[in-house]
Order: sequence, then C-alpha cells, then structure tokens
Amino acid sequence: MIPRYFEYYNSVRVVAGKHALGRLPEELLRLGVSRPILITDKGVVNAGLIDIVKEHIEGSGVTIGATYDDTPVDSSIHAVNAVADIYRETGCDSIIAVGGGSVIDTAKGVNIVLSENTDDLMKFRGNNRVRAVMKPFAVIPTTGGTGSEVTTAAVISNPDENIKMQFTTPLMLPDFTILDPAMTRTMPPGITAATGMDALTHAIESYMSIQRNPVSDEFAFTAIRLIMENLPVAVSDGANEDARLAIANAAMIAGVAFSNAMVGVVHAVAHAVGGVCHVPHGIANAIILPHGMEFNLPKVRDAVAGMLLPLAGPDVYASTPKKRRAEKAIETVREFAKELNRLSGLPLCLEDAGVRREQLDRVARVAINDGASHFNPIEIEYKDAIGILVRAYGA
Amino acid sequence: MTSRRQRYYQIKPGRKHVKTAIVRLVMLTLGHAFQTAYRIDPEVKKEVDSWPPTFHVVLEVEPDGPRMTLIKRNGALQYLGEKELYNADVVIVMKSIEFMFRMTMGMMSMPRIVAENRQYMKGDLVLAGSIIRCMNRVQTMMIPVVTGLYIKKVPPLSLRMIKNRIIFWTCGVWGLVK
Repeated sequence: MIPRYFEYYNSVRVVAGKHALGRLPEELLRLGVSRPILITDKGVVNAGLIDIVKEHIEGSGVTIGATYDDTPVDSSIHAVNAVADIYRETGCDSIIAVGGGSVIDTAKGVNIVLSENTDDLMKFRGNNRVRAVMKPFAVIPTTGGTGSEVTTAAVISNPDENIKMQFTTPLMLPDFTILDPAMTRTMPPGITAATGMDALTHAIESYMSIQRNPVSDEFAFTAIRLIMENLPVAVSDGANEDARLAIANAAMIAGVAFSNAMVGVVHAVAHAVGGVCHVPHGIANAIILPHGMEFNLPKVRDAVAGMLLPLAGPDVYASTPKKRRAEKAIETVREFAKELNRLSGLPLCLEDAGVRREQLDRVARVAINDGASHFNPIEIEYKDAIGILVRAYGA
Repeated sequence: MTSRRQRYYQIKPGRKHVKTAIVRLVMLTLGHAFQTAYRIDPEVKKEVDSWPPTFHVVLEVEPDGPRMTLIKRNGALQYLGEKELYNADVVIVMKSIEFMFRMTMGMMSMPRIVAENRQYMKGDLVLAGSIIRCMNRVQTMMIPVVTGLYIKKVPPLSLRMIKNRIIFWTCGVWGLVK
C-alpha cells in the first residue's frame, strides 16, 4: 500500500551489538565533545550498569563531568531543571542518558532547557516548538521496549500543576544510540516481558495508524518478527545475549516505525490506565493490545490480516484462509501474551493488573483525550473506550 | 545586455488572494458556528465546560493568517474574530493556506490533514482531543450530506441536529447566537 503522501525521518546513528559500548568514547569524540553529563536512575546504578559504562570510557580521554542518578519514575520538570543546573555548574558539553523511558525523556527535556537557554520548559509544550541547535546527545537504553532512543517525543510531568506535558520535535532525536545486550542482561523476566510487549504494541499500532507509510511498515514487520521469535527466550533465559540483543534491536526498530507512523487506540487507553491506575505502561499495552486490534478491525482488516505473517510465520499465514487471517492475527497476539504469562506472570487482564472496576469510567474519559487517539483509524468516543476497558477487565 | 539581477531573477512568494479570502470567510463562519454550538448543542457545551474557566483557542494559518480566535470566559464561548493572542492555551496551526483551503472545501478531511503533517499544535495537547471533538460536532452542524468528507465518524442524523442546522444557518451564521 503506497499512501498518496507520507513523511519519514530518523537521523539517529545506531550502534548495536555485543560490546557495542566500547564505541561510546569514539562516538562522543566524533561529535567533538568529551565531558558529558550522565543521566540515570537509582535502579540502573544498583544493577551495576553504570559500572559497565565506566569500564568502557576508561583510558579514552572522555570524562563524565557529572552523574545524576535521582531521575524519578515519571520524568518531572524538577528533575529536568536540577540536571540543567548541574550541567551548567560542572561545565559539561553533552548529555548521555542511561536508562529506560523516564531517564531518556528527562534527558530530552534537559536538552531543550539547555539548548533554548531557558528555565521554563512549559513554553515549549506541543509540536515543533523548539528551534535551537541541540546539545550533543547519546542514549544507552537499559530496557527493551520504549524505543525512546529513536523517537521524537518526550512526556514530562509538572507536579506543581499536576499535568503531563508533551513535547515533540525531530530536534530531540539523539545523535547516536548504543544497544548493548550487557545493558539489558539484568532485567527481570516480568519487566522483560512487559517492555517487550510495549515494543510489540508500537510495531502493531504503527501498522494500523492513519500515518503508516511503506518505510514504517517495513520497520514494523521486522520488529514484530524479531519480538515473536526472541521475546520468550529473553524472558525465560535472561543471560541469552542473542535474544537480549534481538529484543533491544526490535524495540529500536519499532521505535523508528511508530515515531514516523504514530500509535493509536491501544496507547490512548494504556496511557490512561497508567495515569489513573498506575499500571506500568508495558503491562497496560499488553492487556489492551488484542482488544485495540479488534476495535480497529472494521477499518483496517487487511492490515491486521497482513500482520499474521510476521506474527505467526509463513506456514501459519499460508495455511489460514484469507478471510480468517485478521482474527488469527489477534488470536496469535493473545496466545503470545498467555505464553509470556506462563513464563513471567505477565497480567492478562486489568483486574489482575490491580485496576478496580470503578476506575474504568475515569480511565475512559482520560483515554479519549489522549494524543494517540488522533492517529487511530477509527474515532474513539467514550463508549468505545469503556467498551474496550470492560472487555479487557476480566479477559 | 541583461544585468545579473535580471538573469538570476528572484522568485517572490506572492499571495493566494482568492483562497485566503475564501478561508477567511469559512473561518468567520466556523467561529460563529462554535459560538452557536456552545449554546444549542449539549455535547459541545459539555466538552467546553470541561475546559479551564478562562481558555483561549486559536486556529491559524502560517505565516500570517487568517486566524480564528475563541475564548471561553464567564460561562460563554465567544468568537473574537482574528484577534492575535500571545498567550493562547491551544493554537492549532495550519502550515499553509493551500491545505487549509483544501480542508475548507472538503478536499481533505481533518484526519488526513493530521496524518499528512499539514498542521501542528502549540500548548496543552491534553485538551486538543476535546477541541477536535467539538470541531467534529460543529462541522456536523454546519455541513449537511457531505460531512463524511470532513470528519472520521459522522454522528447519526437526529431531529436535534436538523433543528440545530436551521438555527445556525438562519441566526448563528450572522453571529446572532452568543
């Protein structure tokens, strides 16, 4: 399917593979910087992952000018301002984010504050508000799911006003990202499964989006195939570096797909489930995904049917009658989630994830205002959102 | 002998006067339609009432208009014409007059405008969904029969909608319903 118009952009240099971290100093020096600030969180430090980064810069001429490890679970404007102050005081010249989505989003916010030389991040809320040339920026992800290392968006909360601010601009893209399986090896099975399902959701939703295009479709297909083949292995055998690397790559590839095609109803509802009920994003996505695919079926049946190929492989695809492929694709996603449930205890319904039935109304009201809903092929109204939530509640 | 300036001639951007004039007229109508819909459509009223007590929404075309400015204050939604605001809460910016024109003529739907990245938003994106739902209702009120060219999901025709259309095209369009 060639759309009559599309845009595609991604400028991030990807360095991926075993011992890829060894390239960190060289990549920084290539950008003309040698004194980065390292932004991370306590979980990453306690897992010993910063020590791995330190090992790779020893004797390289690169000095970590400062290490900020207080990033909160939800990136906040206070953390952004604190890091920016430290950056200025310590004379740093670039930014490295080592962590998951929250750390990476915080780093993106810091880059806006520093590059725009402002102390008011609020001014840059929305799409394409940033105009300044950004500071050199590198990302080393420690989870295989968010894809934030290649996306143009960040969500940062403002606890004083109790709001989450969204920022999107291609200028926020990192200069490079390093995907090294050593950085995800210590991730427990439950988090591996949830973040992997997050990546699968990115790929599947980008393939159903109104902004999908031939380039994002190819990225989505590859990501789906890699996840289906490797996620169960990465969950059951965390030390398997091949599987870890495949999932890190899949998350990045899915990130490229959805940063160009955007996501839809699954993310709209999952964001709301996370915001109202504090369910981790990957788990919320995993639960809502098959219901979101079903919801979109009337408008994107062919696309869902096409996804059976990377989801189940060529044999199943060929042996399934054409008119049954869409349902089979959804069924495959359900079976995959059940397999992950057996391996890691991944919740399969909202009730198991700790959501209370009386919260569903509020979740539905928040979901219909989520930005992701604009890119869904079908308009999402309150009754649609509540329908999805009720089906997902005790599924 | 031709001068270098004549040989390597400049291309000035020019203006699309007719399209700009049509868009300006449609935006004026749309502004009045928002004002009217707030008074006669309970769905729009419910959405607008969920916005903060004082709230500015601007729809504008880059680089210099036309523009439609709406303000919610004192329990009413008012159309302020093309008033320029530097502190609007949400600004929906169309990147060129060409695509705003296409949208106003039903040649491109709003979802297609979003999908093709012909617009962007400034400000509080959380309320953008509510504004777009209002826009859908308002367009449904303004445009009979071909509503499907403009929005994703056309609400079923009801007696109330027919009544609202009559009120809008007789009084609301002139800005008489406030």
